[in-house]
Amino acid sequence: MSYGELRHINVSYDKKNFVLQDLSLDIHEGELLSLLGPSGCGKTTTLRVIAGLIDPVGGTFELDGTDMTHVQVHKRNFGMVFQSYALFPHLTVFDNIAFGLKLRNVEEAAIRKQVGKIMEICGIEGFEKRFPKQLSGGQRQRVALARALVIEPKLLLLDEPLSNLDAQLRLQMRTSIKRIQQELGISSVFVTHDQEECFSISDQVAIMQNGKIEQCDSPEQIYSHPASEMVARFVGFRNFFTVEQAVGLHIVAGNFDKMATMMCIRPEDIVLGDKTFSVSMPGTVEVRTYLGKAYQYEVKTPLGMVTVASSEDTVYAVGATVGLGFPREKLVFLN
Amino acid sequence: MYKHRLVTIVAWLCFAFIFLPLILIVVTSFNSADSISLPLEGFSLQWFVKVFRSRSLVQSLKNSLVLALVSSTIGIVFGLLSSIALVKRPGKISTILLSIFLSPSLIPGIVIGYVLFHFLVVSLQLPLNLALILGHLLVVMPYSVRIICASLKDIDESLEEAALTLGCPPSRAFMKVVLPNLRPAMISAFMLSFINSFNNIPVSMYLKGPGMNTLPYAMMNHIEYNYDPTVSALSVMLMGLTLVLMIAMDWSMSAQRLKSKAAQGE
Repeated sequence: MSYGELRHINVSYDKKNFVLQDLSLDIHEGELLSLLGPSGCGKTTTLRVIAGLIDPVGGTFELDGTDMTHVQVHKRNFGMVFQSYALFPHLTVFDNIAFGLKLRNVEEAAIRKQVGKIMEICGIEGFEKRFPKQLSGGQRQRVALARALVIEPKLLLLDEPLSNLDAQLRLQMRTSIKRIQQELGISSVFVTHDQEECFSISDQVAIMQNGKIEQCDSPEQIYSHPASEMVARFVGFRNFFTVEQAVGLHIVAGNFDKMATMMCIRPEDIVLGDKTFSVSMPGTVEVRTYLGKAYQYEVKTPLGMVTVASSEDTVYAVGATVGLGFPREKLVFLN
Repeated sequence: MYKHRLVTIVAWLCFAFIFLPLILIVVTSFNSADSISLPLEGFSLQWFVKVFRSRSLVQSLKNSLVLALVSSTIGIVFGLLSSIALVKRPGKISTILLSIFLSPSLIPGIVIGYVLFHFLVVSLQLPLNLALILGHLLVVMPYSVRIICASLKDIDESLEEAALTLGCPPSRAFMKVVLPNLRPAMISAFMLSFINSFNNIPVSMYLKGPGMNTLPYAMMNHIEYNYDPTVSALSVMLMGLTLVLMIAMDWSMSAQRLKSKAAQGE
C-alpha cells in the first residue's frame, strides 16, 4: 500500500466546471513525486488539495492509513514551499525558520538546536540575523525549504520552487533539493512545468492535463514509453502517424500490438541518409534550422511533414532529396 | 543636463512663495512690536508666553488634539477592517465600496459639514461632541482606507497560507504575519489622518457646539480681534511640533532598516 493516497478527488469552484476530475494518485514513502504539466492543468490545485488549502468537493485523501480529507491545514503538519517563498518579511531568517517550532511550544534551547541543524543541512549557516529582503533568490529558497523542513513534516510540498531563479541557480538548487530530500528520506510532492527539472529529480512523475492524470510512472518509463499522444508530445516526440499509414508505406511489418492506432518517433531517432539509403522512405528537405549541436530538417514525405534532427557531418541543403530510416526499436505505439 | 535660466528663476520664485511667508511668521513671532509688521523692533519671547496665557487658545488646542487623536484612532481601526474586507473579497462590489469609502475626500468639507449638521444634530439630535467626532471620522477615513488598502494589496497572499501550513490556527495567522507588515502603512495613515483632522475647519465649524472651539477656528477668531503676533508664535510652535513628528516618523521607519544593516555588517 502507498504512503499517501488521493482517491477520486473532484475540485470545482462553481459546481459546473471541474478543475480536478476524478483524480487518483499514489505517493510512495520516501520518494519524490512530481506533478508535471502545462499551466492550468491542475497541478498546483492538486498540491493545494494535499496541503488542505483547497477543499475537494468529492474524494478522499489518506496518509499513512489516516483519513486526512477534512483535517484542517494547520493540523496536518505538512511542510510547504511556496512559489513566492512567502517568507515573513518582518522576521529574521532565524525567526522565520523557528516560526513553526514556537507554535508547537518547543523549548528555547531545543529550537536553537533544531534550527541550527536544519540551516546547516540547507546550507544557510550564518544568515540567522538577516531579514528576507537582504537575501538573494537562492538563499530565500533555502530559508523557505528550511522553514518547511524544521517542523519534521509528514510530507513536503513544493510549488514550483525554482521558477523564480535564474537558469544556473535552478540547476544548483534542484540538486540541493534532491540531496536534502534523500538525506532526510522525506516523502515529497513537487509541482513544476519544466520537464528537464522534473525528470532529473523525480522518482515518480505524474503528467497532468485538463485536471486529469495522463500518466504516472518513473521518468525513464515516461521518456521511453509515453502512454498517450499528449505525454509523447510533452516529452519530445514530434512525428505522429497512424499505424495504417505506416503499414501502407512498409515502415513497420505486422509484429506489433494490434490495439495500437498511432505511432510516433523523436526527431533525433530518425536516421537520415542520402537518396541511395536503403530501407528508407524518400523525402525532400523543405526547411533547415541550425540548433547548435544538430541541424533540424522539415522533410516532406509521403507521410506528411516529418521533423528530423541530425548531428551527422553531412549537411543537406533545402530542396535536397533524402532517405529517412525509422529504427523499429525507436518507434512508440500509442493506443 | 539641459538647464534654462527661466526654469531656474521660476523654481526660485516657487521656492520663495512657499517659504517666505513661513520665514516671515517665524521672524515676526520673535519681534517685540505688538502687530505683525516689519521692520523688526527688538527680540522678545512675550508672544510665546501670551499663547499659554490665552485660555481660549490653550483650551482649543487641547480640544483639537483630543479630537484628532480620537478620530484618527477610530479611523485607523475602521480603515484596517474595511481594507481587509475590500482586499480579501475582490470584485465589482468591492470596487464600488472602495469608491464610496474614498468619496468624502472628494466632497467639499463645507458640504459634509452642512449635511452632517442637518442629519446628526438636527434630525438625530446626537450630542455635539459625538457629532464632531463622527464628522472628523468621515474626513479621515479615506486616508486610512487608501493607504492601508494599497499596502495590504502588496503583501503576498501566501504569507497567511505559509503560517497555516506551519501550524498556526487561522484565527491567529493574520495577527502574526500580516498585521506586523502593515505597521508602516498604519503609522503613515495615522499621521495623515491626524494632520487632516487637526487642520479641518469646515466640518468643525458646523458641528462644534457653542463655547467649544477647535484650534484653527480659535486662531481665526483671535486674528479677527487682535492683530498681534500671538498667532505667529503659536504657528511657530505647531511647525516645530510637525517637524519633530516627521523626524520621529522617519526615524521609526528607518530603525528597521538600521537594525537590518547592522545585521548585514556582521
